[in-house]
Amino acid sequence: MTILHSFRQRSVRLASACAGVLAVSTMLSVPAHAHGPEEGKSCAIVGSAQSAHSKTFVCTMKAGGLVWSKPLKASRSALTMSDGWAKASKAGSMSAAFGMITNPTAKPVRVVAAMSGFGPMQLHEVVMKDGAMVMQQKKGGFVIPAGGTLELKPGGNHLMFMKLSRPIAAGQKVALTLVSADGAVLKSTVIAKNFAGANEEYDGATMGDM
Amino acid sequence: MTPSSDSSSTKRSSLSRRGFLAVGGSALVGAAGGLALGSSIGGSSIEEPLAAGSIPAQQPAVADAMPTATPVNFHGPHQAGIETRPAVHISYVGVDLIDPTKENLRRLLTLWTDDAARLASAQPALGDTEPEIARHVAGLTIGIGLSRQLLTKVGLSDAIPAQLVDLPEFSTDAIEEPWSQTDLLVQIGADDPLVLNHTSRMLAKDGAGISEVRWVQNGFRATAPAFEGSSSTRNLMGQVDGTANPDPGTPGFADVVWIDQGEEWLTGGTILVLRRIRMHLDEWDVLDRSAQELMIGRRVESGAPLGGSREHDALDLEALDEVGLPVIPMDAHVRVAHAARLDEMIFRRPYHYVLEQGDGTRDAGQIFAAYTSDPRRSFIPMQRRLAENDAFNRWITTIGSAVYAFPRGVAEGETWASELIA
Repeated sequence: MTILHSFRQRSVRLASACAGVLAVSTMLSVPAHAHGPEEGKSCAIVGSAQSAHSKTFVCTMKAGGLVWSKPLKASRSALTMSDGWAKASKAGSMSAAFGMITNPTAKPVRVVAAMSGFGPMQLHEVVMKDGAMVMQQKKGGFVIPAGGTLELKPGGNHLMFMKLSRPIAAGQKVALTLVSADGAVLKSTVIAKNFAGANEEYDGATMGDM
Repeated sequence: MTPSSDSSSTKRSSLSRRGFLAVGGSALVGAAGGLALGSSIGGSSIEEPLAAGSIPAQQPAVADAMPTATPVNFHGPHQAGIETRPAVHISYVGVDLIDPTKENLRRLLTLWTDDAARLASAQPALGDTEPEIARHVAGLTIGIGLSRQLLTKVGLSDAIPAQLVDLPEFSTDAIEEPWSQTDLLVQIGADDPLVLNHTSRMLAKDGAGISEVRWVQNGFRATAPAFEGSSSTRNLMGQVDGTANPDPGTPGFADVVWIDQGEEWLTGGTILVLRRIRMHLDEWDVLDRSAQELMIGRRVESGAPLGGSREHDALDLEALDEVGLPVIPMDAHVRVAHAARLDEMIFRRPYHYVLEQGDGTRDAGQIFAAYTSDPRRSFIPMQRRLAENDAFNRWITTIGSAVYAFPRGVAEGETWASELIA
């Protein structure tokens, strides 16, 4: 499952859009997958989803494939977020959030999902593919090295709002939740800003597949 | 401008020594401003050394020659850019809210306070597209002013302090569009125009959709002292400008400028009267020097009052010449502007503007910025006297006028005027 983002064409192509919907279906406000997320069962895309019982599961990379995690714990992550901001945008559009995630612990921490009250989110990277800069989901999530910092920035790793359920207005505070592989959560509030770059426009044709 | 040699011990330092009470604030010459350079450290406005490593080693020599190596502290009880050393370049940006609501004001001030705190400490703003420019210190200060009309529009009439008044019309005013009152004012000072323009653009981009810029008044000041040893500079007419100002860091300055009671959001704040004064330079040139000095009441070369010999000599308003006429004429600018008491004084930061008109002519003059704890007892009576009697009026025209309340300074993480927008 790959989301390509050609900066030249300023459009995003969903290579296999339907596969991606499984993991985030409840957040996209379309009918949930028949069985919903269930611990240990295979899943299709890194991300998070809620079960019918409002438990949150994370689809994460295990040996050999993607499986649903245990339901999330409420434990606080040791990670910290600083200099966070989100791109202001209108309802229904894509957007992104950026900032610095710091891991003060002696072990690497893997961030496997992001959540907000603005619709489904994914963890994205930007890579060079076939001579073009493309945006795609970060398989396995973001690894924050021990004692290190990961910078999320336009044109690089970022937290992606797939389809804003409501507008993000400049100057507004946006609450984000980052989920580590062990289920610990980092809650953070970032400020929304106008930003001309980081344009994430869906190609209309592929949206229809969803 | 040699701020390193301008220590507080060599500067004129006390109110009495400077003859404040006798000299008084004057509109264009007498009460000029705040050239307190390196020693102008008052209250919270402490200049701190930049953290090691923040300046690239290959910084060109000019960075050492200019007083730009230390950031001006953004946080503190007062906003920076008033009691702190005046930067070489200034930008006053008049802004209106597109849809004036308290929520939109809150969004705007949240964005701008965060931007200002970062940029003033030589850090890029969040989402800064030119972070390399932001890393140059350049003595950057960023301040905000709120107008009476803004507070009325957003339903905060109850919070309007008594001293935030609209100015009366003065007979000499000829206000031109667009230089009139706006909802908000952003004051940006920097020693490097590139840094200033980056800051100005960053704030405008972040304010887009919430606010719109009505006007920008860019100004500059001389980098050389008026004469060796003076801490004043000269204006476009060559006059010594900056003589009769309260000294930053003194109790007298605090009395003149800072509001110390009333609305919490304004305690530690001040009122800015911002006037745009066109100078008719070509007509001024027609006068010979002695005629110019009689209009103003000071010598051009030394800045000394007529009858005196040094810049900071007190005005002798009683002195008569050999034929019995006042040495300082009755309509001389400094006499008419003269403030009899400390609480009638203003603090000025004069900047000059020159706008090329595109046809070979220029519009030039002064951006007159007067900071006062209460314009009702300082600027307004002074300007009434000047409008009625000042001989200098023939050579100047006020074409812009606005008044803003500058909220108190903020602590780290705080938002400007947070009491108003909570």
